Amino acid sequence: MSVAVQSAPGLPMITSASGMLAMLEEEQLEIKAYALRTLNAVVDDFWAEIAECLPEIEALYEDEAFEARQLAALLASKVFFQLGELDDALTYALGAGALFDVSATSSEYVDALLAKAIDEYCVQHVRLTDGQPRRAADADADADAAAGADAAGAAVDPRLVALVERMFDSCFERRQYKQALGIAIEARRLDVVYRAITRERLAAVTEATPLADIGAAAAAAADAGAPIESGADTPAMLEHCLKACGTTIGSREFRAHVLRLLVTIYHRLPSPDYLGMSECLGQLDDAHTVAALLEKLMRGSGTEFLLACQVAFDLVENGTQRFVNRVTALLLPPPAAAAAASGADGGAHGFGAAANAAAAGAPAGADDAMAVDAAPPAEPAATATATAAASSSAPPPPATAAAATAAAAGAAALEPASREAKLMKILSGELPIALHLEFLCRNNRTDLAILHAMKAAVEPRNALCHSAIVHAHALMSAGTTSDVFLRDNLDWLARATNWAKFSATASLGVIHRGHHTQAMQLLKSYLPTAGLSASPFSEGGALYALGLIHANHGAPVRSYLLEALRNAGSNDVVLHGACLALGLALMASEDAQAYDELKAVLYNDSAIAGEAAALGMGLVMAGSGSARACEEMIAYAHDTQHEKIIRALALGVAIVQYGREGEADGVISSLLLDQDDILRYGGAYALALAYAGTSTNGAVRRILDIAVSDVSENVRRAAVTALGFVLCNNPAQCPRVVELLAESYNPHVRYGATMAVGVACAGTGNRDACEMLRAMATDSVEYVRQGALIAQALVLIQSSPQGPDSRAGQLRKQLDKAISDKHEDAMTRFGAILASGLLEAGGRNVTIQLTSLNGHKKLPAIVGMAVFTNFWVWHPLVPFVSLALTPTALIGLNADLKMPKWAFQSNAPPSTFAYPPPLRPEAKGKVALVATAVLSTSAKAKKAERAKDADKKQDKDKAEKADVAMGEAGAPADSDKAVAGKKAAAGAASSADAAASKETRVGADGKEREPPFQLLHNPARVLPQQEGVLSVVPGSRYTPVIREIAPRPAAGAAGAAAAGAAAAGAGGSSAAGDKLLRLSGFVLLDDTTPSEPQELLEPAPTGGASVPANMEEPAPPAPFEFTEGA
Amino acid sequence: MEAKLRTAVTLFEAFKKEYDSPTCDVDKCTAMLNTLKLRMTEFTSLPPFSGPASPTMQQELMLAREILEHAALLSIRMRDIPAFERYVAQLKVYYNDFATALPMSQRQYPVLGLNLLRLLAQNRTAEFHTELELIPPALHDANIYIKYPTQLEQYIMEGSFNKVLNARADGLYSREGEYFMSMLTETVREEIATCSEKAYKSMSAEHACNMLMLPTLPELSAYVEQRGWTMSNGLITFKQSSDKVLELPSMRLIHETLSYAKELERIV
Repeated sequence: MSVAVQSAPGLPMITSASGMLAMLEEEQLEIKAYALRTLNAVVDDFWAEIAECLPEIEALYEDEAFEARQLAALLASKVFFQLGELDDALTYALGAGALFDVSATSSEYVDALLAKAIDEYCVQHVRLTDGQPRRAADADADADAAAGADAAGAAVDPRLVALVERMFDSCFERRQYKQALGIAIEARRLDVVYRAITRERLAAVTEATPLADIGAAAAAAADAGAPIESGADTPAMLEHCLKACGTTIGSREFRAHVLRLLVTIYHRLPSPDYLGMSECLGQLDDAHTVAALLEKLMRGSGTEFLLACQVAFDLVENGTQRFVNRVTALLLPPPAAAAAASGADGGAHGFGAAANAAAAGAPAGADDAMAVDAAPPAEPAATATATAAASSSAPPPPATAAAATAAAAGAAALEPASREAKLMKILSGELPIALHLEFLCRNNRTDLAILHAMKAAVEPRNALCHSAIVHAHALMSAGTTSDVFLRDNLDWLARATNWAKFSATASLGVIHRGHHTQAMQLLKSYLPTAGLSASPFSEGGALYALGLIHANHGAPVRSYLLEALRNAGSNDVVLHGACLALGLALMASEDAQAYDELKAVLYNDSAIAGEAAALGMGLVMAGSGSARACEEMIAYAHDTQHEKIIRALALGVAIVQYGREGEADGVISSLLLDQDDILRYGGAYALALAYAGTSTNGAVRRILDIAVSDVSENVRRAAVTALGFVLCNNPAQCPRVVELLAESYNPHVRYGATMAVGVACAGTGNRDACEMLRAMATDSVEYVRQGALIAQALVLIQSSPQGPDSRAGQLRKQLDKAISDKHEDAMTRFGAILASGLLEAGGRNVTIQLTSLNGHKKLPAIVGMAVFTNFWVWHPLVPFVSLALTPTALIGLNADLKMPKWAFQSNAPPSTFAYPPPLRPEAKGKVALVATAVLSTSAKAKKAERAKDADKKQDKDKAEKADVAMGEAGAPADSDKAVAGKKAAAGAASSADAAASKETRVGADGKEREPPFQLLHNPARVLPQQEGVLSVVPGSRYTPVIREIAPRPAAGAAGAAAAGAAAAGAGGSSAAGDKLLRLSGFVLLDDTTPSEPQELLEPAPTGGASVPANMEEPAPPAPFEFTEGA
Repeated sequence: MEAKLRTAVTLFEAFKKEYDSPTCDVDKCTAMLNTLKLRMTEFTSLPPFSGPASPTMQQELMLAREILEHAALLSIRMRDIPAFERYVAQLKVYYNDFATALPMSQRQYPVLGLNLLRLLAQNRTAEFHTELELIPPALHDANIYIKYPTQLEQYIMEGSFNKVLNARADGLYSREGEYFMSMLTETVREEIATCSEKAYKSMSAEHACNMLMLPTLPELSAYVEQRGWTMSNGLITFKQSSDKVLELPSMRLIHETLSYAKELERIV
């Protein structure tokens, strides 16, 4: 047919639309309509000609009586589109009504106009929703809104609404739910968000309904409706939406609405997703509901208790200290009920009612929490108990109610007291920290040869490099409790004097981070003791170390630190340490007493002590947005003469504003408009922290403006650095934004650019970032080189692969060169040493993560990083970076919260994610030899030789490792085999193992081949990049409690042991080949055969003993066989 | 389609009969033409042509062309210039884009020639030349319908206004062209008047009468009034054209330069 058209006798295409345009001027309306029709068909080709007749076409549209006026509008719209006048095009497209076909894909015109329409709608609808409680300080929005300010709150153009509604409908028809969800979020259409997730419309809700009412309607629907008959993707949509909340929603207020909605929907799922729910609630700062949720789970079945533990772990990881404290306080029974609980489980239920009553009744605000913390603590659990009693206004429940609930619950609640204790152990942070410590000790791979090499390369009198090595060592061993190097080099260490001594002592805190149990003992010889006066520098450093050990979990040392602060008298150095420690330990606790004591130190107006006190105040109130604190701090900053204090106060205010986004605009503006450049510096940091991890355009614009227009170089540097924080949830974007600034003529701006990229792309190994920083590492200015090296280390920490040719390997070479080069500037060498410490941080088992998996910001990490970037002015702030270090661990726990022997699969060749090869002992000699002349050719040859050796060694390692894997993999398979009714699954497992071992053998012989997967053993090191390839080994005894939320057997059914075995069998088979959903951190494991004895891992000894001084890897345990009788 | 075409053809025959008759009733013709135009909108093969070729395409196109040609001529008869322009615009598609697909129409050059004449009469010289370019150069002299307006244009360019007036009498476009020719005279007069304004400060009435080709003095005085000149004692004084003073937008330039300088300062 089409051929016929083409070959139609000499019918050429027309070359002009003038004929049709002429018809527009005919008198007869039919002919005009005809002309419009024909023109509409050729508008894509002849728009230029038609454009000249636009006035006529527009007039036709204006003519109300003309029946083809919509056609005229469509034509005009298309012409305007071609002319690039999208605004006019949209106006006429709206006029075209239904003729504008939203579902016409593949049309550039429709796509562009839809995008425009949606943008327009978003702006208008956002203005509508903002209209009710309009915040005056919404600076960037205001600029746009100013034009239509009088229209604010006015209804959106109904035609636009109709168009967008049609677009939503067409999205739903084509099952593009995610797209609809995205647009709904952008436009703040809560009802459509609801619809996209649940596929249900909310009745009686229009687009103009206030958000709160929509939330209420959704809740009402939830009460009335049955559980959602989910398409299997409802959970996926929920997750998507949750992620979007963290990454794309700019307005705090709307985010709260969406989160509330999500909680409602989570409740309606056939199997409610408690983790998601608690995450939402955590973000909403709703401690009462979280407590009630935990309470309910704690009383539930075994699986539900595991979930409760999982929720608790997440809370500790993501929540602020204040929030966790509030949840704990709400969960803990008042003393009377607790007494009852020890006897009968009925009493425990009574406590549950009490907690709920408290949740319903007492409005616990920030003041409430402050009061909680104000009580003098003795021992953590006891404190919490007492304060809970103090703050809970609800009387203990009548015993009758308790009895009733007890009867209903029946025997389901097993040992509630012990469960409670377990949960408390998690919530207090005690267990997670201990487990992380355990993981880091167990897997410590610190390569001391690197340190030795650095020590040898640096001339002994260079104090700057000396203290840099001490810092680097602290970072390399962060959390591993291994201080062998320090102990072996005591006389070398003794060269540190004054503030270097302070830092050196503080570095102990980094090494023993989280080592709560023995902290006091370890630091005993350094801490200030009455009567004895050691060096104030080591005393202050030791206090600081104590703070670092207890960072963000300060309850155990709170009173000690307060006491130390009071006893320090007028010794500035000790005060400095104590203030920093107090800030660290009580970070974000909003502890009023600590705040006041710090303030008292501040008002003494001593530069050194005041600086730390100001920072400490900020840390204690971190993220609270407290207006009082900000006022006091800014007022004092204006009073004092000391620049150190002003700077610390400005930074402190910035920390207080952490995460407050729009609410912080007033404070930020007042700081940025200040005459004092140090306060403007704080303003830049305030922008960074208030909008950290939001990628808000308005904030980025403001920062860029400061970065190019401020007169002070410090402010410009801070502003550029701030970009990194704002964009840290969007690492790929940062290098592009910073690109131009990195080529600035101003070295401070360039330095800021390195830091911005380092912070935003930390731990990602982002390629663009690396390339940019590599180029900057050869900058002509020494501190820019320093920044580039440190930033590269931040980016490449724990990146894979780690071979000598990888980017990380190249950086290592670059660092070696910078450190050993005597002619390199001291600042650059300082940076290089610090960078090598960061690159190998935490025994090569930690990474830097400023946001969690779901894109939630981590307060300690971000604040720690922000303070770290201030090492520019004060080197003792370097240890703050340890707050951002996160173990790359996957730790499986059973119901007793112990680590069982358990393995899972990583579907990638082992070498992909292997540790970097250790520095060979010869390297030590080589570095020392550099002083003597070495020809470049021979150096090259040596390098090649070394590379070859390393390869060989790696191969050997691989072979060994593979053998181990084979041996150990055999064990669980054997144990499974013994389990009745699971033979089939076990068969599958053992055949998988056999396949693995076969592959391994080939790999060992053939050199080139590697097994395509490896088994990782609990607790395992899992790199962020590795998370995509993890899966559960089919048929293993333990299954993660978080699984694909598919319809699974009702939890209640798993009652009797026999039924349990059957269910477990079913569960086991369905779990076969499951993707592991929880990819890092703590994973609660469901034991499929609870009757079997469990094999647990022995706790590893802490301290330096775990790492032999020479660099050999620990010998693998001998293969063994597990027999059931054991 | 066939049927529609046939009714259209019948209607057109009737229209032609009326149009060609010496006692042509213009209103009746217009009414019939309007019906015909409506019929035309139902044709499927008219430009912009899309879809499969229909067997009646050739006939449809030819009929449409003929209708439009007649409509153009009729519009001149009714002194409706905009309508004439519209029809010519529509016809061009047939003359240009469909030149290879259809046999040449015998009215093509008369219509085009009339169009040229119209442009000339309206003093739209630029467009006149654009149109002329579209006609093969060989025809400029060979085809009498084209040659006539071409020559007229040359006379005007030369300033040989007499020849223009003489040509008017030639009567090639006896019926349709007459209207345009009188328009052309007006145009020429305007041209002369404009030139005189620039060239002289004043002029005697007789001289002016002669120059402007106005037969009597009263006509002259009417014309003088129309142009806004003054006449006293047989002397016409032309109005002085006010010279525009060129002004430099200095403030704006200063402002812009300063802002560029500021922007340059801010480059990082």
